[in-house]
Amino acid sequence: MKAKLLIWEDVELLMMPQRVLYIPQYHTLLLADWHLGKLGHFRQHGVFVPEMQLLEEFERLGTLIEKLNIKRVVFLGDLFHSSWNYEWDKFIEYLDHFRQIEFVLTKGNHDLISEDIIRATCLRSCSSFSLDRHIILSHEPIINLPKNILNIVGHVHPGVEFHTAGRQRFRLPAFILERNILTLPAFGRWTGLHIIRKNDRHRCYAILGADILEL
Amino acid sequence: MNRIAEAWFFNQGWQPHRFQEDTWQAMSKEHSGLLNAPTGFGKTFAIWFGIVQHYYENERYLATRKKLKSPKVHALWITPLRALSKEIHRVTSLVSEEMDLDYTVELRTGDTSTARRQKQRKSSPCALITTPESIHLILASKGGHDYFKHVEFVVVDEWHELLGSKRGVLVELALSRLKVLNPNLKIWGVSATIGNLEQARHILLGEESGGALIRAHIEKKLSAETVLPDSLEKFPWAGHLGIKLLDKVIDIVNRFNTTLIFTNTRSQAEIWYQHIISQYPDFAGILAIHHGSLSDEVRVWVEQALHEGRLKAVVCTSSLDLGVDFRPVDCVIQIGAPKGIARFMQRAGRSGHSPYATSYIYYVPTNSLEIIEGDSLKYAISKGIVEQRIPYIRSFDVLLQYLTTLAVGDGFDADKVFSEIKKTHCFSSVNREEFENCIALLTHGGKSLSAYDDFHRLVSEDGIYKVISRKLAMRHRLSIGAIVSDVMMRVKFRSGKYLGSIEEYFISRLKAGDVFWFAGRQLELVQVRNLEAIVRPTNRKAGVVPSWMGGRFSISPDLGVAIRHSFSSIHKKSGKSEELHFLMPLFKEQAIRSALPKENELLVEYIHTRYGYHLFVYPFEGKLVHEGVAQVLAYRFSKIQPITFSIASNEYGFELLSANPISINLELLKALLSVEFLHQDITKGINVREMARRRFRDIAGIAGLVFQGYPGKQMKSKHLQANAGLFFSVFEDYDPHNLLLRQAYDEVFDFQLEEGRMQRAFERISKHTIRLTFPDKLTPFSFPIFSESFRERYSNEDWQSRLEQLKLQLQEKI
Repeated sequence: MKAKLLIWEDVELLMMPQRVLYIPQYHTLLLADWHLGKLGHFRQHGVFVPEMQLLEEFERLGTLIEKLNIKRVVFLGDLFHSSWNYEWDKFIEYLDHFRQIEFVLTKGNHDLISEDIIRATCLRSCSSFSLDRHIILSHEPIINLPKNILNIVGHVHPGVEFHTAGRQRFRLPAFILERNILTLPAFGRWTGLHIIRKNDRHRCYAILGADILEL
Repeated sequence: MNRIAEAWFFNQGWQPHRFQEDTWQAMSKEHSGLLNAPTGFGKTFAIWFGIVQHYYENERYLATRKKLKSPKVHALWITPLRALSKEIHRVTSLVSEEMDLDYTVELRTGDTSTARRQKQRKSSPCALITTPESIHLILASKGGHDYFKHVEFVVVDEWHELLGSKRGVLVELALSRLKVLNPNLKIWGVSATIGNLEQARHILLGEESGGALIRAHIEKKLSAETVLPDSLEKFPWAGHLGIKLLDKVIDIVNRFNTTLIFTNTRSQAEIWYQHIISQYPDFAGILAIHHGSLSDEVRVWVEQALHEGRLKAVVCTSSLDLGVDFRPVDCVIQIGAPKGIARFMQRAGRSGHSPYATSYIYYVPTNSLEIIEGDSLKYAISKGIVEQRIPYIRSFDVLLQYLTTLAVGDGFDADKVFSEIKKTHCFSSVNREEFENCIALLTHGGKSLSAYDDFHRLVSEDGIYKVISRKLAMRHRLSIGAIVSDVMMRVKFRSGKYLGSIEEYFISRLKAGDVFWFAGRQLELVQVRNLEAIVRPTNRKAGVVPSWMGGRFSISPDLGVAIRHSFSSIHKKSGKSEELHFLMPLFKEQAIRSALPKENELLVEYIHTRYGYHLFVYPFEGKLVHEGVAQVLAYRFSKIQPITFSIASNEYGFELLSANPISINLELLKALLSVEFLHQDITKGINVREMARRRFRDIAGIAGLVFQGYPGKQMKSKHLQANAGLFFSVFEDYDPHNLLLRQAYDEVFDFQLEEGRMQRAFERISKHTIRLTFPDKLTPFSFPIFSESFRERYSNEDWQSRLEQLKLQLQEKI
């Protein structure tokens, strides 16, 4: 797996093919739009999808925590799909394995879990989170932010589309940097891709399997 | 005989046809049956008077009727189209009125108001004119069973139209229940001529009932003509629009009283309307447009104006295919290949509606090679070739919907329902285990219920399965039906006037201020609010035309036979049809650039363009077979070297396109097209996953996985929305043996890759001499395939190595 380096006001940001952003200086891992609980939410409303293999899914985070030197994980919103179902309890149980790690959630439009439930867990919720003077994290972009402050967000599930020789077509998740807004791809497996059309205002980093390629 | 009918016919000054008298007689003996008659000869009356007579004169029924406290529904008349329902309602009510009968007839379709429906529940009419979906909606309400208990007749109109679709399965299921509710039920079908009329009767009436098959031996006179361009050179080699022949079309329209101009898609209809109006402004006010996405108000107005003869022409789609009788229409124009003989004949029958009048139809080709289909159509008609309608079997999606429907209504007993559905054609091969699987999906959402999970849909109370959640019941009622569409946006003026609906996908690509064409109007998008697109009229030019999904037909195998016949006639020395004569320069060009295959030859072309390396093969077997043959070839190639192909096909041939050169020679081609190991290569080799994935879109919608939201309350259900593709992936990963997933694959094999047809195609090809050519540019045969935008992919390179290639390509660009 090869990460791609981005530097903002001397802070190193590593975009990783696992669809996360790692900031070594702050021992912080960022991920957006996991949409856990989505299948459970469907089932709760009588839509007969199979249950999610929860452990397998949680391990995607667990492996990263074990491999990297991480003290904090920030979920950039839409962590949990809609209101409570049992998958939430299973998730919190899993997080409890990592007592030394701080978990933060910048709430998104799909996070309808009540504050009371969140307060009883190791998860701290807020609308935005300042990592340092030049970096602020949230679910959706914050309006009228000074140009030198980087806003790292999720929400749109960005992706890019290529047409190549032999009339082949590819759709891949991507990181998008537009002015001072860095949008992360969705971490969740059961989410869609919102295709971003290329223009000169933004830089685009597509995830090609184990690599990240700037376009 | 039938006293009421005789009196009524006498009053009209008409003489009953033989088939009408036969039908009355069969019905008076309480038989079921299927009636096959052309439109315009009074098939509605053939059945209607049988029903009315039964109501007033059948002793057994009169005795039952006396005992009823309140009147109950006596007959159900099911049609596939609301427009047709209205027409049947108009005609039948007129009979009661003119004969001064107290036999009441009411309409119940998707348009019927809630108040009206409630009134129909409290005091039932004698007959209800309705749709398959509405019958299921009544079954999904409390007391639905009681409501149908005294129904003596069910008439299924245009049964051929329903038979080959999942709406036909809805009919089969509804009948399986109605038969049990009233053992005296008589079922009557009305069908146009199809290749499998006997089977159509069996499926409708049930195996044991027998029943009459009454055919009206009346020939309708038909005149079919191909509209040829002035010069072949200026006519395009590819394309599906046909606008080049606009002037000729207008000439025809001017020669007749009223013309229906049929197109194959809704966007094509919009484009034709727009071109006629802008190039022939005189048509403003006497030209209209009619298609399935327009609001009811617009469609009703057009239909009314057609009846009254106020229109010179209407540009329309399959929305005007069926039944309704527009007397002023005396000419039909078909734009583009009709893809089926039956469809062509049916559309032709929309003109010259009165008995013994001639139907005039003009076929307008949209590209040069398509001209040949005019010859094929005429050949097929002269030989009396008509397609079969292939019924669906084992449609678990519809079964799941039906079980939920019953549970929302009066509840169901699993044993009883199982024995009922076993008697239908669709589910006769379903075993108890599969049925239990369905029940398991609905009661605990799949395999086993885990301790935490709170899935609920159906619950069992004293052995009766019910839906208890009112929310769920409401959601289910809103999604009953077997037609799945994308999320639609309602197009409205600011004043609130509703024009129709367009797929969200189209609107989402527009910005406020953009101009588009819809309902034959030039509109500017003002804003999008929830699922409403607010528009205003504009005169600004440069608009786009929405494209709707669906409407992509593939040619029928029977028309395929006719097309092969046409191509083999090219080499005839004399007696060539007008179309073939006209196309001779094109065939000469084909012979110069490549080769013109004879009847026992298979042409293969290998061409290099800037898009890559193309292999074109022309079996003339029809698009459906070509898709499969192309996949088998791609698979066999891939056993030699890792390769990725983009595949396109049309009625005449197919294309394998690779980014890298392929080494090709006659020996290799022979091996690739061999009949040996075909079965193995079909089942193993074909990339059915992508095909199944596309099939799953409808399946997920019908089974109730994808919910479109409440009308007017879109936001609340937003968290429950996901596309079918997501469900497909989830099932693949977590529950690969799921019934619905399996159904998607089965449908691909049954409808897309029908193995028997592929086998025959390979056998035929193996007897042919292969002619391999290496043209230096595209040929008249290859160009239309090359231009197909809809493509399949085949690859046996793993995803990782495909990504590696992509990376290389991208790095070169950067």
